[in-house]
Amino acid sequence: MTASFFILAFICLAAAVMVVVSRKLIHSALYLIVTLLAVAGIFIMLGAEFLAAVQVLVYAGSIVVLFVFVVMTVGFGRASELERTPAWWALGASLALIISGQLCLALYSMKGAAVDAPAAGGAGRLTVEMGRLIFTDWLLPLEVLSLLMLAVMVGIAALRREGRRKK
Amino acid sequence: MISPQLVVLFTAALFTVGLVGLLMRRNSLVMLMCVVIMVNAANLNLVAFSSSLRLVTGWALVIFIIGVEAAELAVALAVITAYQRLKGSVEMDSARRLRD
Repeated sequence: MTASFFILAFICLAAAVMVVVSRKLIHSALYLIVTLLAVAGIFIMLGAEFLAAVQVLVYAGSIVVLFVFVVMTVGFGRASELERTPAWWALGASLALIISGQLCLALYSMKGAAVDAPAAGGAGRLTVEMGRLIFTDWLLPLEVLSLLMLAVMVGIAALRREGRRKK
Repeated sequence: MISPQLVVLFTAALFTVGLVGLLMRRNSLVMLMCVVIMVNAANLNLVAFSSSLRLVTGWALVIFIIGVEAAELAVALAVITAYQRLKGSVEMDSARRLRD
């Protein structure tokens, strides 16, 4: 169990690093799929099968498709001069060391019960419980979220229309 | 058995990768991808603690976060497309001002 977690975590981290350092945009988008699928695998190991399915459907299925679509239509520009210098990446590496050191220092003393997905049993029961929670206690946030989606749709349509008129 | 401590350390590393990528890269599309990575690290944290405490509140929260993230990305990609049409590039070096 722990071994497969380490494997998934390694794949996820390596793909995330490749997203950052890839020269070509389309490679970044494809490595992003690997990262998101590895996160879905870790969701399953933590006993959240439903969330893993949602992750694959929404992130790997639609968000990355959106990314690839935009990369294919607008993504071919010249690369920034700043990103070519080694000093810039040395700065990035030291920044990463400082931030992760701080986080590890803060999290080192944390305590918590271990997660054992198969022994948790009834992951299906927990999913049912989650659905009930969303549609009873959190009904108002859910409606606000659907209003947000509507606003986003109208906003994007307005944005496209504006651009066309200016042209 | 996965201890939440392990998951939290891993998500800290994942979050750091996303944050550094956001700060270092100047391409707006890669910056957006780094935001996605950071949000995923936060989601993973919520799920780990939720499973550890046998509560489903964190799971429900993750569903909402995924929804808001999808909406945010749709708007951001539309803005990037409009910006590219205006300037002919998606690099953020030239985006000193949003007007014109």
